[in-house]
Amino acid sequence: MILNNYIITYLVCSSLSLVIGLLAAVNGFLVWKKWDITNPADEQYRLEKKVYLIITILSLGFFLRILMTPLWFWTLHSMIISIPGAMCLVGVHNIAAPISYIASGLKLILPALYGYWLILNLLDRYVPTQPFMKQKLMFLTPLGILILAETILDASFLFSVPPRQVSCCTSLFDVPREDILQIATESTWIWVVIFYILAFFISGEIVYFLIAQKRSALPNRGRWFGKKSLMFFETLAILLLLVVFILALQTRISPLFLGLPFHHCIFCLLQEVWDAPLFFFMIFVGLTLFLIYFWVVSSANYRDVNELLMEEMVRLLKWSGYMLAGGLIILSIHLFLAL
Amino acid sequence: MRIAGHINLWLMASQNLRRWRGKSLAIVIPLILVMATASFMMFTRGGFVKDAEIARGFLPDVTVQGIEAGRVGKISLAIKKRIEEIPHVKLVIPRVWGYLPLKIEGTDAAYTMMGLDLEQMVYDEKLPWTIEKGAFLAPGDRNKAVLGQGVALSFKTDVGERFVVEDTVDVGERLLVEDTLGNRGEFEVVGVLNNTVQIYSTDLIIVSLEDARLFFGYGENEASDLLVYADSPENVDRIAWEIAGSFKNIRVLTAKALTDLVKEAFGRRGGTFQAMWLILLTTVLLLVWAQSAHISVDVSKEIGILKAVGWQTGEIIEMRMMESLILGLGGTSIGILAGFLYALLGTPGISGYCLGCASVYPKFPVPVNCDFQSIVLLFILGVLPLMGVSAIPAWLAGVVDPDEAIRR
Amino acid sequence: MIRVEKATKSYQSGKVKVRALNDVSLEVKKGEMAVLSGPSGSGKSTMLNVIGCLTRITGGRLWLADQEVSHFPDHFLAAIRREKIGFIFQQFNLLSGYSTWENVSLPLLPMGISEKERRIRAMKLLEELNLETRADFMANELSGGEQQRAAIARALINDPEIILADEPLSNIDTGHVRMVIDILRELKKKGKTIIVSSHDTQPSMASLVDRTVYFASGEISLQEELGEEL
Repeated sequence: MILNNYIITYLVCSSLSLVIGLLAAVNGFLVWKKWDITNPADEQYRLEKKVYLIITILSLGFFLRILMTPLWFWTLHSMIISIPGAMCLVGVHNIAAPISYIASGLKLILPALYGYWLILNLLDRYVPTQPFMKQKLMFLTPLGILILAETILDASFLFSVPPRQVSCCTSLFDVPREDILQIATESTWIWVVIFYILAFFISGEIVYFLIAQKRSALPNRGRWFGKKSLMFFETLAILLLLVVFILALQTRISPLFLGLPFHHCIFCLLQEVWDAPLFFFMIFVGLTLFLIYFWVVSSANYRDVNELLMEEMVRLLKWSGYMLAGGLIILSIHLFLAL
Repeated sequence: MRIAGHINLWLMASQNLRRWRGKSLAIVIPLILVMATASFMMFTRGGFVKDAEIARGFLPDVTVQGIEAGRVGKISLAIKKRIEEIPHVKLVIPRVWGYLPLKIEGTDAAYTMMGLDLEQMVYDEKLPWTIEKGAFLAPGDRNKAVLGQGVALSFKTDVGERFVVEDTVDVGERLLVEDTLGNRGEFEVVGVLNNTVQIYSTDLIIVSLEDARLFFGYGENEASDLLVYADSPENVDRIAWEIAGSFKNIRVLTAKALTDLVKEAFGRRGGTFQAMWLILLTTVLLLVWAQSAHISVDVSKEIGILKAVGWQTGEIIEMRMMESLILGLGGTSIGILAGFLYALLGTPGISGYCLGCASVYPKFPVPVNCDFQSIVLLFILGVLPLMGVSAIPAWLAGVVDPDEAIRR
Repeated sequence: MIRVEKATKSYQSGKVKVRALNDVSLEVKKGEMAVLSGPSGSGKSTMLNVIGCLTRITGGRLWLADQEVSHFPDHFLAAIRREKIGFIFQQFNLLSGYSTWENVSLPLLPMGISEKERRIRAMKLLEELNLETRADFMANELSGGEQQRAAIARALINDPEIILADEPLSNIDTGHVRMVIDILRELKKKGKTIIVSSHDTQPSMASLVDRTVYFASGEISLQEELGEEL
């Protein structure tokens, strides 16, 4: 096992995150089983106290997860010198792919899921009947399982790095490999074009739903509330957009911004180009907030509380729009300057 | 809650910590000690790593060593010409060096004598040191030496010890060397190096190639290693692979590999220490738990009153978490500062451990480097576990029943 | 304004379940002053705490300002305590580590109001209660009567609609009793709804009282409105 300050620090954070996740999941399940608004008030109060524990530790957990994401990549970076052949993060990932890539992906997904829970909790607390209580408690079990899986993946990767030669990013992206489609590796503008088309579509949706949300208090409006099908559609659309974004970065944007025609490494892009983490973060957060909007409004209880939550939902959509637009603008300016 | 509300809670949290000074100090003082320990180790490790990084710029692109019976030994100069014929090789320079095992005041110490080809090894930016006093060796110099700072500093020995230096060895003085293996030499000190890259230069005695050959008993066609310089950085790896593939019984090291070796060694040492240090941190966390988990009747009543006048449970919890955050940030900051100062002072008392077993006899100043990432790691280690341990006590305080608390 | 319907409240005391309130119903209209009277342990303080949202009923229903709050979650009840209710405690319950004005302005802290603004609001109330000269004294340096006035100021800092006072006259000297009654009179004139719990009704307060509720063993034994039995 490679042992350095980063790995020890990361393992400490990972352990804390696991404890938080499991504690929240167990308590969430226990409260979910007994939660009933018609319970006697003191019984409900006893359960509410447990919910406060969950909120406390998940708030801490969210803050921890925000720190763990850059820390994970710093930790991987610190391992480069110990792995022959590795010159960047792709080399380190190749030690134990696909475990390493899944673990890295979870570093983006988990903060998003925590964010969803915290936003749902915030909205829930605006309404005396707390309509999302059961939904948010139920969510904690799969979240806890995911955190456990992530901890196992992290530990198995960090504890079992063998001292063997690995290949680096150029061999991954530039030399044609049978297991990767060429369209996903060669320098091409197609993914960038598809990305912008989808991004403008999603931006248009945000504007549409912003207007529609404001009008949703009027009679016969807000037909999308409670519709699970719309939630699935939007989730798929946004996931598709994210995948296309990654492909666009890999195939055309990285070589263009790094100034090296064969350098497709996204990790190098994020490390060496100062605004790359910024636009990446803004686009990711903007899409996540939009997705959270749909997950909330697709809840069966939402229609009854729409008017009470109107202001907050409009704010959510606005922030989603600002972040997505901001990220797209920064990316576009850089693309224009690089051409 | 508006941001101003959070700020007010922060201010009230600070006020509470001042009110309960004893409890706050009982948490913050051990935290300072523990973080100071982690800090100085991380900064000294960082110092060695930084030294290695700086030195990398001055190391030869490729170093070729001979292997005898699996161990590093002499290399024949017969391969020098063949290496020079490899495309993109600019220069190949032989070097003779060896360790000087000495007994200083009863303690074993190891210095390094290094002989350079002064005709080719031009004193310029390629050498990982600069002269602090005197001058570097000139081509043709014999029986002259340039010393690293560690060697030049003064120490006395008892009569009968092998290494005798009367006083601080300075420019113009004579250096008498007789090591425990019986090698003897006498040199006029013409220069002293500064400590830009201590890790490589502080224990050095630099002499001419011929003097080193005599001292260590090398033949005319032998050297300790060959220093290979490439015409451009892009060709270094290719040259290294070609040398490794062309000759037997040699070891080929690029500058990057040498640097990474040092970084990895010190990284591992830092990681091992930190793993043991976690025991100390756990002790502090248990102390914090013991202090925080018990809510006294007075505190409980106070919380009850706050809730009775309209404070929410979440606000009480937030305030208690902020108390932990303030203690964590404060204790960690002071600990980092203390650790940094201790490292700057040369880690008195444990400098030998910090330097490692192959240390130069005590005057070697421990290198220190304080970088942004180390500071971030230290804050993560000092603050987050503390807040983790404080979460449940904060919750217990927050869910105090106002009715019951006020009745007490 | 305040309506309680068949409220019950039980406490667990070791292995025994104690019924502090048993099927209690009462109503207090806006602007009225009601006195909850009865011996110690009769349930009047518990009733006050229930109305003040400091504790929850185990059965029955509770309305405050035309809103049913029986099943409100904890943070909603806290908001009601902050915005609509001012509670004056029997033991004053000032925080000893804070000055008088800081104690008075405690409810304003989490609302994000600046220190300057909080002091201004606190000083205004302290001046009305002739306590401005003691504003910077620590709470434990005040006399009983001064602490009572500070507690009243704290209860009024958010201009609540409902004032609840638990035995407000029992821990102060005669001179201050007169003063507190005058304060209650002024509050009633401003249209506040006031509920006072007292084991012993002061004759000088009788003219203010619109309704008296007598408690015994956790139940209402008698209710009188303006001297007439209900």
